[in-house]
Amino acid sequence: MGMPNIVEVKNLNAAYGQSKVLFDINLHIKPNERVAIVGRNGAGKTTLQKCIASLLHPTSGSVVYDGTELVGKQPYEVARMGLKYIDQDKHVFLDLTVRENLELSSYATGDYEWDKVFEHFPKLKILIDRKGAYLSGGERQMLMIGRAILGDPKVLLVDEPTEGLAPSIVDDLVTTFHELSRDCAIMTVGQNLSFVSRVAERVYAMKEGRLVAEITDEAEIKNNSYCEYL
Amino acid sequence: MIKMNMQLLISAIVLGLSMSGVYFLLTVGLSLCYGLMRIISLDQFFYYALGAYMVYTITSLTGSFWLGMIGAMLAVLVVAFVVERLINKRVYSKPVMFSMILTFGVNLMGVGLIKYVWGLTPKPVASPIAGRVMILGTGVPTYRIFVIALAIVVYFAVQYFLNKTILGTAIRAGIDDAEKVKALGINISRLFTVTFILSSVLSALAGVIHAPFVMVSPEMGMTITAFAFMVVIIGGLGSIKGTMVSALIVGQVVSLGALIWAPLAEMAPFLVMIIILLIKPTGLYGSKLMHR
Repeated sequence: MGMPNIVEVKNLNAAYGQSKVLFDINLHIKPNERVAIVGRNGAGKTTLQKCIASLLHPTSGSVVYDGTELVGKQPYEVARMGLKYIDQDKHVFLDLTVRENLELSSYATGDYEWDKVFEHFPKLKILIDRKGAYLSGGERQMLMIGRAILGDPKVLLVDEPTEGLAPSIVDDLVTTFHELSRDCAIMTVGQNLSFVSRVAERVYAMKEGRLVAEITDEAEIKNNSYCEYL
Repeated sequence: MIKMNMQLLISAIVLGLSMSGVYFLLTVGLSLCYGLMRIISLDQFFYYALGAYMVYTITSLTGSFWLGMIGAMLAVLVVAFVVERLINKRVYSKPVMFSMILTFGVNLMGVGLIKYVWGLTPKPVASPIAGRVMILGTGVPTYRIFVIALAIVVYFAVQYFLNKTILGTAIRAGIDDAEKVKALGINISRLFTVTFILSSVLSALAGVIHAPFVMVSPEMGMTITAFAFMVVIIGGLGSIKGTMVSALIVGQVVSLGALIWAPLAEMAPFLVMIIILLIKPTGLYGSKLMHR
């Protein structure tokens, strides 16, 4: 008997108006697992993550997190339960300082232990009074992840984490994701296959709103051999 | 002759500043509501009029304007809470036109209610502070100085609330991006309620302090609408600092315009608004308009 899944998605369908974008998605995430969803632009990766985080409402199907059904819940409730979504646009609150950004997350979660944030991202301590508008792309990514890990989430959904980042920062992110997964599961979506090969333990390939393959073999992940499905 | 003109000028400037105070209190709420919820809250003009009527009633019953001021703000707090929870929250996620139509309807219903309860006859409210203060040899009503001081205190209080409290920080974050605030685990709906109530109470306060300057009438909210929108548009939607600066400009343009030529009081602010918008279409402190 294996470990129970922390997230279980069953027969999930979603649409924007009349346009259907997700078709019968079934997937799971195990505790402390690093999962990646890969696919071309418009494959439905972001929509899938937003549905899991309750930021979009699916037309049908189920998302169970830690034994609780999430469909119908408010996004803030889902975040407070420990399932956090990190957007791809690297948008931190521009008029707020790093301190205020962290304070907001602490206010939402009741977790004021910022040491764990600075342990992963010591640079944020130096930038504590800098406004979001003056942070680089990498610094914004650090702040977004730092904000998200307050409240000790069990699952992080990270959308396109490497987009627009310098290679050296991507390397740091690989290390960070490995460290973070000691405490929580991470589901990342993206098209940076090199990053996926270094981070993911399991990969779902997605095409035109459908999951077309699940790759668990370490060698296949390292060689990006799932490209044939995309 | 010169002394006479100087006295008129000082009186006009103080009158303009006190009007700026009223405009600021009334429009800061409009600005906050648009900034956070992306709604044009036309029902603020009802809360403004309701504040004036409540201060009239409570002052008449108790003899205390100050008790009336507190009572008016409390009454509007309750009304605004009910309106927000039952009506306004339904249009937050819809295009801004929906909120304009809906809140205009609430405003019209409110004016109808005022007519039903208080009748059509305008009501007087006595100034709670008598006497005059001498400024450069010109006597100006002490109450006008009080209104100016109150507006300044409210400006700094709102700035403190937005910049130094966690709720204010959340509101500023929500003005930037409400979706991200939800994803952090913050109940944005509660923030909307707090912001709407704060805005409405400030509108009521505007009505309360304006009441001794005018006869309180059911249409008083409608009368001030054009000037209030001018203030919001010149200052830039969503900017508190912009609202304050703009209120100062409009107050002085109205007051000094009237001193030069009476019809200018009505015309000049529109002229100023057109010039400013031609130079800076988003208003003095407005950022790029965003769709949500």
